[in-house]
Amino acid sequence: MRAAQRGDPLAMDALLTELAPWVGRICSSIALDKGDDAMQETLISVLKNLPTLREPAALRGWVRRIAVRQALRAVTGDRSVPVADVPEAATVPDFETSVDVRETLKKLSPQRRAVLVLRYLEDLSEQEVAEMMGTPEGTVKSGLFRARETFRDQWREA
Amino acid sequence: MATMDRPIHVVGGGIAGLVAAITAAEAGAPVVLHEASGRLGGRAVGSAERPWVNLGPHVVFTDGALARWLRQRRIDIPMRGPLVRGLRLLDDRGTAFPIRHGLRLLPSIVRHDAPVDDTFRAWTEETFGGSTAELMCRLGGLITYHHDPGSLSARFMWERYRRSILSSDRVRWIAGGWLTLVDTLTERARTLGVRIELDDRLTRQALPDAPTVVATKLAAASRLLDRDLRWPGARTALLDVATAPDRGWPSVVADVRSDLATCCMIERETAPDPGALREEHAELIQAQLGVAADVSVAEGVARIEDGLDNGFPGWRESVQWRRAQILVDGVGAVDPPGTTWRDRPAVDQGDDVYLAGDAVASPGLLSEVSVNSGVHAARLALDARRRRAFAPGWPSVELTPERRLAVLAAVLPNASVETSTHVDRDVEPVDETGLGYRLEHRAGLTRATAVTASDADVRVMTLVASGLPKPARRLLERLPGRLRPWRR
Ligand SMILES: Cc1cc2nc3c(=O)[nH]c(=O)nc-3n(C[C@H](O)[C@H](O)[C@H](O)COP(=O)(O)OP(=O)(O)OC[C@H]3O[C@@H](n4cnc5c(N)ncnc54)[C@H](O)[C@@H]3O)c2cc1C
Repeated sequence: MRAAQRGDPLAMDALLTELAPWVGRICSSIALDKGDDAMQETLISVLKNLPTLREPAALRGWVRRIAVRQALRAVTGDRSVPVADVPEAATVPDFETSVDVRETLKKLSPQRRAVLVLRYLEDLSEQEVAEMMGTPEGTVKSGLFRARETFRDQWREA
Repeated sequence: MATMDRPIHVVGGGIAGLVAAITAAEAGAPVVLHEASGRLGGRAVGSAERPWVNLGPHVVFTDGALARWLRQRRIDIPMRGPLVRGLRLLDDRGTAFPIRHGLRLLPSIVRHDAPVDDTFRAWTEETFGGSTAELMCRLGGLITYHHDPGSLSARFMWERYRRSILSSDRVRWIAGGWLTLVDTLTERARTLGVRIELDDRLTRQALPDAPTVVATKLAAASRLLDRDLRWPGARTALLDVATAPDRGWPSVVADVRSDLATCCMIERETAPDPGALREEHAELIQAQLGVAADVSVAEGVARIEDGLDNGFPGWRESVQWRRAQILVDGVGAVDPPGTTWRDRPAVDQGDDVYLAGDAVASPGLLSEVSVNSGVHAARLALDARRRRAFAPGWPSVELTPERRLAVLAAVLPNASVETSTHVDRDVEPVDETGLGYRLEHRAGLTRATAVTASDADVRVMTLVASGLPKPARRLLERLPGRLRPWRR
């Protein structure tokens, strides 16, 4: 990590190996088909700005933030993806039972996907999610709650 | 994250399985290694009472995947160099130091591109002419243990010919035999926490629901996975003899008499490795001959013994131990004309099952194929384990070698990238997977190579970057290949 900060190519390369699976999942869960572009931009940004990171222990949080930002940028720069929030009633996966998470994620807005990724994939608390997304905690909470309820109802009906 | 505790399973504890288990354990994964027999090592060790008289492998190539893999881990195995002085060729005129033959082979030291589609025989005849071609084809038996090396793909044979016969200075014998290597790898696996289950023959029903590396021979893998996994191999007669010492004997005799389309290799193992028989005061002679499907053990062994009579006079008088057998598909894959290693059964079999061994789609010679595929399979299994570990079903993307190069090109100083396309699909392998990616960094210069394949062609991307000022870089670029700092 320190060596990578100094610009040692071998250390940088090792860091890529280490980060790629995790970054790849965050990026493609949010940016879907644009996930690989988002991952590439994230990794470039991480390596470029690595020297500015003072505390190696903060790496994960820092990278996560960059990944979410790049993933949102990758999709919202693209008109074909609806930017406006879809209706609250949209399905949200129950991550224990859902088989096709991807199909379900597709129906949500990028921002909502980001919230879900941070809460369920990254296991952040609602407060942390709110902080990172720059939205009030209550909004995150109610959004997630309603999404879960909706999903459960649908599940029961099916 | 309970799934993160779930192990990767490796089935088969030969060189391939050991390499796969160690590679996976090094990455921090729990690993269980299942071996059907009571001992690890597979073909690299001998029978129960004499495990040190290995069944198959003899030499390690210093420029090959096994030597490299050991070097990378600083695993120091004592090795002995070649004994050129003790080398003899037995042809129709008798046994002699191969001066005449050396001259005949002289034209073959020139670099050539051998075609995939021709037989080695047709191509060598066309390129080098009759008598040179004939000798080259026979000598191919030294490295393939096949009864008719001339019938195999010219590309396949040429690579082997160059790396063994033309580069005999890179050949090493392991002191104490391959058991030394197996013991060292076993020790390493144990240290890394690999759980080793001996006498544990897995069946189809018992295959674990977890990322699994199947590192058995193809036939066993075929049964285990219930699918047709096949590739041509060699049928080889083996004779191993312990006999009273005679200092006058040569160290290696290559029997190239004209009744054979191949060559019978007879090695006195105690020459490069005096400790080969452990405590016993005797010479160990090991001989191999590729034989066709209709040749019996008795016939094969009789032909080998005839060679011994010529090269090692008196060997029959005080035989202390002997072992004779025919091994089918014992030396790994041979590629027929029109095929390369890429066409063999794939490492990635889908459903988180990966193949390793010496007859699968990986580059290298002999056991190097096991090493390369072992590393490749372990990496894929690690990826699969990460995929399973958190939130299965969530979308994910992989960092392809091309993307990785693009990232590095964007952040390394003075980086430039070149791409070339090769339609013949046989590109010098870059890493253990034969595709993939390698990064080297020496003296301020970084060089990364990524190789990707589609059905149509193979693409090679090369990135060069350096922290040096431009004139210095120019200079380095112009150096002949041998002197470039990024060469290993
Ligand atoms: C005559 C001869 C000469 C050779 N010379 C050389 C040489 O000079 N240099 C070189 O590098 N290589 C050489 N080789 C090749 C080398 O021996 C092999 O490539 C190498 O040993 C293969 O290792 P492996 O792990 O792929 O397979 P194996 O060694 O065959 O290992 C497979 C293992 O799987 C186990 N197994 C099978 N089924 C199951 C099951 N269902 N459950 C659990 N375990 C199972 C087996 O017991 C075995 O231990 C030679 C081979 C021969 C025969």
